[in-house]
Amino acid sequence: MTSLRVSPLGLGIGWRPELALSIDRRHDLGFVEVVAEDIATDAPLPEPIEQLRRRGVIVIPHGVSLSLGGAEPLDRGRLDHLARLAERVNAPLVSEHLAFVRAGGHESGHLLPLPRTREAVDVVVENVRQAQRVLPVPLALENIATLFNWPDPELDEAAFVTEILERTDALLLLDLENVYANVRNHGGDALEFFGQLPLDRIAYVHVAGGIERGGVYHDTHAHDIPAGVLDLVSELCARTSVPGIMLERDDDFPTPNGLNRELDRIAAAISLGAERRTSLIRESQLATTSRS
Amino acid sequence: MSAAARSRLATQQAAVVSALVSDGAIPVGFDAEHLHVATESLLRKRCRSVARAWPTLARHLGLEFPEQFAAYAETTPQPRHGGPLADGRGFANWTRQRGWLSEAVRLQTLAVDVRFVRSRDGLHPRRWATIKFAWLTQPRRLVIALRWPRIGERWFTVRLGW
Amino acid sequence: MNPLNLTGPQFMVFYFVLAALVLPAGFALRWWLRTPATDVGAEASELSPYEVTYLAGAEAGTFDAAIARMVQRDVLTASATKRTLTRSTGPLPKQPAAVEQAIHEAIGDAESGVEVATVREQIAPAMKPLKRQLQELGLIVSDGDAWLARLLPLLLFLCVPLLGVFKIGVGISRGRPVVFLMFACVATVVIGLAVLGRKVQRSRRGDHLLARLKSENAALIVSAARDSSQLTSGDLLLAVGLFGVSILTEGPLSHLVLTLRPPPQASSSGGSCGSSCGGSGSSCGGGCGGGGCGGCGG
Repeated sequence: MTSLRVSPLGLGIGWRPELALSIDRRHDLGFVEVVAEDIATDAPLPEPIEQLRRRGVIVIPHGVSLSLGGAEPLDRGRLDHLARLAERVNAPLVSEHLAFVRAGGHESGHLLPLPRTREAVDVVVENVRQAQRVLPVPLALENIATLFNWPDPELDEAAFVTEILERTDALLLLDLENVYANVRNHGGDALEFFGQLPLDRIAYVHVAGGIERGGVYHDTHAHDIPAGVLDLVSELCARTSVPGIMLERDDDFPTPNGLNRELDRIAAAISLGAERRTSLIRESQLATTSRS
Repeated sequence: MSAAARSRLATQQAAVVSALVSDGAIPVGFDAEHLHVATESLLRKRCRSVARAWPTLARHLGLEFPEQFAAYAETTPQPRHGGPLADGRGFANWTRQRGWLSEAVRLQTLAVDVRFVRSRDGLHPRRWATIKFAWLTQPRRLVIALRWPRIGERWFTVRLGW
Repeated sequence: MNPLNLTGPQFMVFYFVLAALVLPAGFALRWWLRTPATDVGAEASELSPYEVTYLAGAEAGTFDAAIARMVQRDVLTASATKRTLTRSTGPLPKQPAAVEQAIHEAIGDAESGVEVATVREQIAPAMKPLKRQLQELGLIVSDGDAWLARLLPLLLFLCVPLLGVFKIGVGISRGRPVVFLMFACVATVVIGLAVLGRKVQRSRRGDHLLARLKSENAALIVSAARDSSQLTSGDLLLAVGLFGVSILTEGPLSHLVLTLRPPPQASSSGGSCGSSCGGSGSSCGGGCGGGGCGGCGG
């Protein structure tokens, strides 16, 4: 396994036009993520993004429609677009999802779960390798939230993700809200999940909000971050040093103040976890010294 | 990996998507209730994305937007290219056929049409210079949109009285 | 060669070529006369919000921005159908900008409201200090230079139709048809007045600063064009001031677009831009691209 090649990103956010002003005025952001499909191939980048780049903010293209888990061959146009965008913004990496979005001539318009079988792992691995050959920078793969699951899984989610990452040497984009949503909707234990994942492969982390409707938690990205997701941020930061953590907000956009509050909550959760980690490290060092 | 594995997966995935966004049967072994929740969630997401890409259309239809969109979505699959912008372009056309479009929607339609070619599978960026017109009545005016890919775009309004 | 001795068709060609050459020359002269041209000093970067709106849009733009701010704060209400302004329940800020104060006074307590055009006229004096300040900073051309920059290029260009008039005289004296030339002369005068007869406002230094301000506020315009309801009143003023009322089309203040930009009676053409324009970036879309259109006219 290779060691992480991603330099620290810090606090980030998904860039959306509605948030451009709030993002422009927040000066502690280390990176922004742009949805690759939102940027036209031949048009200039939105000026606010260029300005962020000039300020030293890292821009990471994020694909949502490559369908890396699809059985159909990868759409070369979409792949080339992602690759070109990575070059244009001088990105250190790009990211996509462990999901499929279309099949049999139908577009789902969303990220759909894959069957957790060895056969499916083989397909994803082949697709990811093909993408990696075209992409000029490392690729990070994101875990998704699922409202339904395939029957008869051969692997649990952690094993499924881990095997794909290890076989493709891809990085992990860990979406904590998706972890939270899956635990709420399908059971399981988030901390156990962390324990099984290769945390040293984390490139960065997504945090977002959602809402419960009729007993089912939906990751809407339109609501405030639930406390449970922030707890996961702290838990994760207590276990490992995370290169970057970012907020995803896609709808019902808050005022600049509201957005700052959400980012501050994330930052606070990060420091809480990081402090715990420091004190844990210190304790273990003390234990080693006293023993020797 | 065998091609057979890939084609098996393709069949399974096609069945799942068809059950979610079309009227396909629920594949064996899947939880019908969960798939139903997912179907609703997909429709909601599709509706919200179009409303966001087409704020003019969302304002034009107001509270009726979700209902109208659901009716449109029932008969129209999501376009393969162009995302919500393309989806909304189709919806705008659908709405126009069943009533009328506000001037704001027609101006956005013009803005989209001057940049993209419409086809069966969605929107594709235009490669050549294009000129598009819209005849608006509040006030009476002819709006002309000109676009040269990679060079620029210019809009003119010729006002013709009130 | 005496052009007055050319045959009719020959002279027409000569006339149009000359007009096509002199018009850009007039334009260049006008540009050159818009002094000062040196780049802005530090003092100019500290403009007040209303100085910025005046720099960008002169009287009309400043008025529009002030109205947008006052309506957002509920100091005023605007009627798009009657195109009137009425006082509302919101108070003026403790130390209102002179422009806002003047608007507030001009509207008074009239319950039926006051027509936008009337208010515009009445508050003109309140704009004077803004203009003076910007002239002192060399961002707006001083009154004398402004006349010169407007007049000289126009006179230069009007030499072309003047030549046409001589030729018409020659033609008439020789009993030739002169109808086409007469039309051509009228057309060139109209074009000349439309292009070179417009008021001269910003100096080249002012242009530089405005371009810089627009670029610095690129994020503001991208967000404002999407949703102006989230803007603070200061940001709203700046957004409308720099980019015009058309950016309000998508928000809760959309009725102001019709209130403040009534259609003129006569037919005219120009770069007034459609609703979905306004976004500066041509490619920034939400969820796969909104319909932002690139460089809108104007």
